[in-house]
Amino acid sequence: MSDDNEFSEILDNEIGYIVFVTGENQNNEMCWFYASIAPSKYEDFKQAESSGEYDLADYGDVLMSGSGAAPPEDVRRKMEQEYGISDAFEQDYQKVVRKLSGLKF
Amino acid sequence: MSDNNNKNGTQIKKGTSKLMSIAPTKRSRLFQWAQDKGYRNTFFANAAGNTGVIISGIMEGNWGRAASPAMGLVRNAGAGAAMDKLSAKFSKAAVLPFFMAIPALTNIPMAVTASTVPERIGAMVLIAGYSVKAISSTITYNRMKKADPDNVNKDGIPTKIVKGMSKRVGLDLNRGKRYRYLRRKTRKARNRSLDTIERSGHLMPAILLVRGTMRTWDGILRTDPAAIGGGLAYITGAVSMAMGDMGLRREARQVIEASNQSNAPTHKSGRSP
Repeated sequence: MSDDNEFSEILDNEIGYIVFVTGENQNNEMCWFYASIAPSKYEDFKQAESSGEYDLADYGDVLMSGSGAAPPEDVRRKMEQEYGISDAFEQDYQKVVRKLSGLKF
Repeated sequence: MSDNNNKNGTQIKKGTSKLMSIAPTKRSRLFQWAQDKGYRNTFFANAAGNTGVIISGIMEGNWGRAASPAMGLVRNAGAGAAMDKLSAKFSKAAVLPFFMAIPALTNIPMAVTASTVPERIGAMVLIAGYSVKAISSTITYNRMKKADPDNVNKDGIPTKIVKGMSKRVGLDLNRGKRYRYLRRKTRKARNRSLDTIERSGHLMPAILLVRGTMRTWDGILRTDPAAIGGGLAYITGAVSMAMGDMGLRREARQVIEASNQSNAPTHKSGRSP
């Protein structure tokens, strides 16, 4: 196994990008998911999302799922407790990435 | 509501997503370790971003370049000056989470050794397989390198550690006999550290670590920051710093501040052990 693949595998085994996904299922009903996306597949996942239709399981593990547009409060609490989810995470994360991108290394 | 991974039920149309966190996977060795240790889920979940940072610390050399595309990153990093720039740009509170992750990912004595900012920290984490052995030995090895030349055996292995000599740490993968010799020498000290910290509660490693690292920031124990800077330059580092900015480290920081104001245990020399 090359170093590239080995590292990628280690990374995917250790951490996941926790995402909240909403959309329509095959029956055109609203559904939601909490999923852990493998870091090496995150870009592909975002591309698939923008393409319109995809299978979430191709990119990571579904942690929780249900019907409707939003999860019940108890599910949300559980996710907060177990995975540290936060609505502000993406925004703050992008803010720091922007900060970093201004640095020259 | 379901809690499964049924592929048939995961087809999505017109979907939108939002990144909510970065967390260890259930199959993570780190996760297993934390579970075995009885660490609280909340603490561990909050440390999730830092997990990525440590892993990013591994991204030196070829691995760094390999990891960049894998994680959607384009920036090549690892320059020795990176840490200087980062510490100038960001608050200590933002950078510290990086160090706080070390005990969570490896094992508690790493917190102690990190007081000197290992210059190849990522490599050590990986090679040690989250074991403390190589890390502890590395510290001692570097101490021994500076040992009194009059106190060496016929193989050139130092036989005496001169107190207070250790200023730098590193990793020599080809140390052979010297490594084995030093591993024996460090065993007692390592066990002592474990006992102390285990009794002190789950946040104690972070406290010890940050205390030690602060000294590094003050220039006393500073070593080559290349690996650290390289790791921080990656997106997982960014996430960790974001988490620091966001205050998700609040709990840990409160304890750290309380510790700094109290008579928390330190090495009798006044430095981190």
